[in-house]
Amino acid sequence: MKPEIPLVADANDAFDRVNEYFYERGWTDGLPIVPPTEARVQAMLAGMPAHAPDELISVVPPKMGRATMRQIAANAVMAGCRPEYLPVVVAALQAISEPQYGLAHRQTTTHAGAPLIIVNGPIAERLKINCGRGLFGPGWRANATIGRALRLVLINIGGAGPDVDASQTGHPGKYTYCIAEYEKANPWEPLHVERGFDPGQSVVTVVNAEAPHSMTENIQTDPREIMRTFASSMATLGVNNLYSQGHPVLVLGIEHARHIAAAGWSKRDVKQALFELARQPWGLVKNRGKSKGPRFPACVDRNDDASMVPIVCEADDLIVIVAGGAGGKSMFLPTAGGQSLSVSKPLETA
Amino acid sequence: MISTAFAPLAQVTAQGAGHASLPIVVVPHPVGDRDQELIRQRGEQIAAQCVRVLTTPAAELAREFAGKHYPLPAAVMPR
Repeated sequence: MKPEIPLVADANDAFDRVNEYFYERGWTDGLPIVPPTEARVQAMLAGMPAHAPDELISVVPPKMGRATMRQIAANAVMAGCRPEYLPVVVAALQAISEPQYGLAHRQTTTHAGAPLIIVNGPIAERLKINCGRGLFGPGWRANATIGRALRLVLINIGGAGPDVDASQTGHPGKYTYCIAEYEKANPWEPLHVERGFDPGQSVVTVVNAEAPHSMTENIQTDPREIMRTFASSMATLGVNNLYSQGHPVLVLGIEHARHIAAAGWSKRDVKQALFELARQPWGLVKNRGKSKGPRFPACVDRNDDASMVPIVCEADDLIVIVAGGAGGKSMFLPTAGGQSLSVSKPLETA
Repeated sequence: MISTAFAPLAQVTAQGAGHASLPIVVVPHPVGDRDQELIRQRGEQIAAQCVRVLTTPAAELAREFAGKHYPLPAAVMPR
């Protein structure tokens, strides 16, 4: 059994020796880490000065490790975070510690999901969390390190390293998975306002999501036809959401959002259209996938092969955000299903 | 009782529950999609081991199982 992660590493150790030490013990994600020296951890804790270092934020399964502010800060240092990122990391951890996220199951499932952190509110711009072109890709420190810090917490404090994490394949989002919504390009209310928060509040929404799947629609501008393209990509016979629903995510490209809004559609109209269109007939579904699983929706008439199976139990369960750069693509992010639902948490700083 | 692919997970879960030296009896993976006869055979293979675990003093078992290493099968994680 690996020893508990120490609070700090000796600042006199060379960078390479510290990294080898940590890597051999399974305390990294395979990438080099920033040694969590006492000085760096203290500097990181200054990102949330109202909290004592030994304050317990969460108990992380399956090891039931104690995620104190100090331990979270150490992992945030290792990830390469700046101190001002710490409130986002802490809020994200608090979000996934809520029962409806189902963290114990997410840490040990065979499903290929990772905690996607969606940031809304003023802090996104202040921390330069990318919401535009390449938002799921490299090059932005906040995106790269905030998501990584959360994952290192789950590995090091929760104990879900490669020998324990049973995800059949994993996916690259398990290194880092953090974006902001492009609120300025969103013709409707942003996600956090939709969920009841003030526009001026900074909020994280975390959802356990698969890798983004690109949906290309360069020709249609009629919203109904755009939705038809999306629906075909979303309600596939292999997608978990067809069998256990939950909160799948649509990252609407800014051009698609513009076309849809110009036609007078609301975000709710988008959700309703996809709720109606993104379906498969029971006759195709009944002997495949997870159709015999415990969460298969009761609303489907299993005596009727023509009964249509949706990917969400109700339209509002579909998470719709606007993000990305120029181009005719939107992204669909399937999720595990109803056993893990999204959670929104306000940040302590604006 | 757990299959080989999930034995390290069982160990960490036991540790999290405060039972770091919990005896873990391991069967070959997979079990979930096997037929009844194969599952019965797996049970028979570990029956004696289970009896021993259930009838051996806890302190003795703790010394045997504390810190035990459960390697993942190569089919799950080639090394």
